[in-house]
Amino acid sequence: MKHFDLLEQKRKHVKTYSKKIPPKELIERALWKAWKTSPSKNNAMAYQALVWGPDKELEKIAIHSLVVKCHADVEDKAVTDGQATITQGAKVGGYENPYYRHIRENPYLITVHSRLSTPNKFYERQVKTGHFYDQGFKSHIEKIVDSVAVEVGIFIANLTNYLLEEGLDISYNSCFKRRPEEWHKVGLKMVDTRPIVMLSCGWGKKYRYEDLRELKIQHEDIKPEIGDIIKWI
Amino acid sequence: MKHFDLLEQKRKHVRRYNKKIPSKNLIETSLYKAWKTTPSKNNAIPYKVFVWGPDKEADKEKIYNLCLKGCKDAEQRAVNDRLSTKTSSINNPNFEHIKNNPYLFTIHGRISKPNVFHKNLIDNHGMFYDQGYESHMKKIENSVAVEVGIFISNLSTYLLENELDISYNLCFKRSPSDWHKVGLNMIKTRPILMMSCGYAERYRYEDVEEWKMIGDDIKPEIKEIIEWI
Repeated sequence: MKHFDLLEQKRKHVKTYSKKIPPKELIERALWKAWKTSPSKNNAMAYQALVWGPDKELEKIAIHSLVVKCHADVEDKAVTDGQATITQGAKVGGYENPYYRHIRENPYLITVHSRLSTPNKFYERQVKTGHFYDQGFKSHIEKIVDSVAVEVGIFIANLTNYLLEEGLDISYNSCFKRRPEEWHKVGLKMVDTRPIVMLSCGWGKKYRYEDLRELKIQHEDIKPEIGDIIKWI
Repeated sequence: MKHFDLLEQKRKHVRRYNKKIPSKNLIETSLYKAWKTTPSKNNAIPYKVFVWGPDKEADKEKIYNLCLKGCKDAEQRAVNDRLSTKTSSINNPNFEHIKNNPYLFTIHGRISKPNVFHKNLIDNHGMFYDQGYESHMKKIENSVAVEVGIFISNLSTYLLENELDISYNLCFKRSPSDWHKVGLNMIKTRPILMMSCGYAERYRYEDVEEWKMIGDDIKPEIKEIIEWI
């Protein structure tokens, strides 16, 4: 199947996954292919993918709580800053976005974090001639996070492709507490560096678009026109 | 061709493009497919792609100089901060694809407007649409950068499927005011990534191969990148 058709037909945000667990080999193979085919500046790969398998139910509940907390905090802050007048009520437990549920209930969750890198032999030599290898300094993790995030996007897009080719479903999430200390507070001490994105994986049972279709509002949730996004100079 | 084979066989950093100009139609079709198949939080797409075509040689020269300056400034700061002892004495030749190419894409932050679905959530249910505020552009920069990475990965695939070559660049001056100083006044928001496109004449790996260093420029081992918890 061509790349365009694969994405158009198969990539849909999952509301709930089926209980059936995909074999670990499928996930390992897709991760290996994503590692192998994703390029990185200075061959540094200044990120690390943590894989939370089917037995990590408690950890996924903890990660989900960091997602819900982030959502609530962002809305509270917007009210404080005068950019909104009300919140959805997540802070008081009145509301929980159902489309975060895939973070808590899934066979596999992949969270991608910043990583300090060390130069390969080629770049060791370049450093000696004055090349600056910013991926190797803790002080630069925050400074370069947006360029690392682009690379993470490329990695996750490739991983998506390999998982979809295996007949699996995936869903992304970009809303979560980003400081490792917040992760430590809920017991996730193994997380030492800043999270950048998360992706869940399994076999979809119900998709978000089905909810919108039932509510007859699917046509309202559309992208900006291509003319707003692409501009020929 | 499977996605894995396409990337393994076709995606190589270009040292130099040949003079043949790919048809505009190929570029437009690939951009359409990337726009169509790339998801975005809240369907916001808070980024914009500028396409610099074959006639924009003078502008590309300026962008190339912003890359060299970005690299030089980073090296000088590292010396000042005692993270390095000297700066490079030569211009990195692997930036040359930014100057000499048929097509260059630069991707920048963009303030977005909510669609009907999200406007209803904002107005009646208290949802906060952070992609709509200039004050939040910096705050959401890295989540937007992830989306840009997904977009550029899809765009790369569609271009490679059409036998084109592409190369990325992440080193450049990021403040729009630096772009204005060199006359690129159409740039209002922070650049996130750039990618060139055309038909390659020579690849970077050929240089590295000639220097007999191909075995030295390798990725970190997979176990350093993927960890099962």
